[in-house]
Amino acid sequence: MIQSDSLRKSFGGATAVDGLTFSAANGAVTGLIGPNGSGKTTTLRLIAGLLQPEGGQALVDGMDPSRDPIGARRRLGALTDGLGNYPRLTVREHLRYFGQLRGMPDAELDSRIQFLLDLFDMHSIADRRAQGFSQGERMKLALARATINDPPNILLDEPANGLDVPSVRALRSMLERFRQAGKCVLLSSHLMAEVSAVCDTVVVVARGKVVAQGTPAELMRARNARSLEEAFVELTS
Amino acid sequence: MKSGSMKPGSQRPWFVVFCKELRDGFRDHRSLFSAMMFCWLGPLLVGLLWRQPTALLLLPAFVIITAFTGAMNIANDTMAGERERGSLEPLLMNPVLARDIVFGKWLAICSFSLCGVVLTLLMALGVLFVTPLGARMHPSALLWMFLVTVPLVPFAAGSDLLICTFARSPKEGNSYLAVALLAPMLTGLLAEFFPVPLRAAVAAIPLLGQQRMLSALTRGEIPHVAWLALSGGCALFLGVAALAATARLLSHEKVVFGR
Repeated sequence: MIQSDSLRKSFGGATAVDGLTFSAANGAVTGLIGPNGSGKTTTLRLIAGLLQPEGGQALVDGMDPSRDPIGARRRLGALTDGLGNYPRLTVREHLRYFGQLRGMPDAELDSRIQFLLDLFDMHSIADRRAQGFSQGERMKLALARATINDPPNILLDEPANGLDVPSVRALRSMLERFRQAGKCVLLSSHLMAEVSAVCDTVVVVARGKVVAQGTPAELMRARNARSLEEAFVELTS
Repeated sequence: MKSGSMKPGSQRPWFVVFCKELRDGFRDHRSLFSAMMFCWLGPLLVGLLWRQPTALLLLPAFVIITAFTGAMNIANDTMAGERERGSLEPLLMNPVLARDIVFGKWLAICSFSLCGVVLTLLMALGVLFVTPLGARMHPSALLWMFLVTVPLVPFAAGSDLLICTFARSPKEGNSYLAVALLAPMLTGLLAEFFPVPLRAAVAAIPLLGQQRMLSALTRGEIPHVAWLALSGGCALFLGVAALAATARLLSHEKVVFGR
């Protein structure tokens, strides 16, 4: 479970996150949506312990990442917005590298790599170096890497960006698996159709503050909107 | 499981990073080629100038420079490159201490730097065999040169890594490293034009101490073990200090995310 309690962070006088309070439950996909610069990525970085909050606290399964970043990161897998693949490493080598960094023994790692190659249909590129990968291939690799140790909490920053239809379906199927396995998924996205399709709960942020939260249906009902996109525009304008 | 503890059968994080950086570095053929150019260029020049009485005096400068040129490409890729391709953030999101990541990278950089020094000395050995320079300097002096230069390897790796921590891209890193490379170059040249006698204060200064000892070796003088230990200890200390400073910088959000 991921909780954010009055989280605050600013950069050189500009407030990025301003008293953000929400929680992402286990066994659910929680969407964090907001316009550009609303503080979504900063919030995810605060939760991962890469940034220190100026006030409030984030909790990952009860662990405060600002006090125990290693403990919190052990329970967290994250897909960052930059993807960050190594051009001279193959898909298999990427997954092995990150699995080893997460302390996975070799036998467990081998079977997990096989599972992820199956899930994302990456067998044809498993032994190819990442240089020259398409955006979709890069995204699939980053997604597989983020979930290499099957963490109980998962942060996904714009996971559907650049994915082709089969990969989007693989992503949805993976999110469904996570949900059924009782994992907590916090997902930030600009794609309202994607958010409507996969998120159980949505947290709408604007200028670093939570402006609304609830199920997509609740948000649409509250704004008398026909789509989540319409409700989003109403809430953030 | 407590933070920092390991599952049975898993590898140390620094070793995992070290192996990855070695593999990655050896696949970067362009950087390897440019680093190797320095390794054979210096001894080749010494060989071509064998008629000159001062030909061997060029060798110390080239041996020292290759410790840095061997380190700089991989240091740049492993730190500035990591930031540019956006892989630093996912790397730091692993449950691994920044000091383990930096230590693994530093060891890999040391390996490439050491390879540079060894290749240069092997080329120099070839030059001593095929030119009459072998009569002026006994090939065993190259073994001493190796002992004198080896402590510069952690210093070169640490300082290059620290410099690249401030670069946002490999291009920026290259411009910083090019300026930093002036230090071993100028030390080598100036120390030959204005030779200072080897004493404790001189031996303790990295680059200068090594340069004076290497220069003495080209004249057939074996350096005192005390000077060797002093210069090696100081270079190693500064290399480890640079390593610690880099690990500390990586826990600063301005360094990780600063644009």
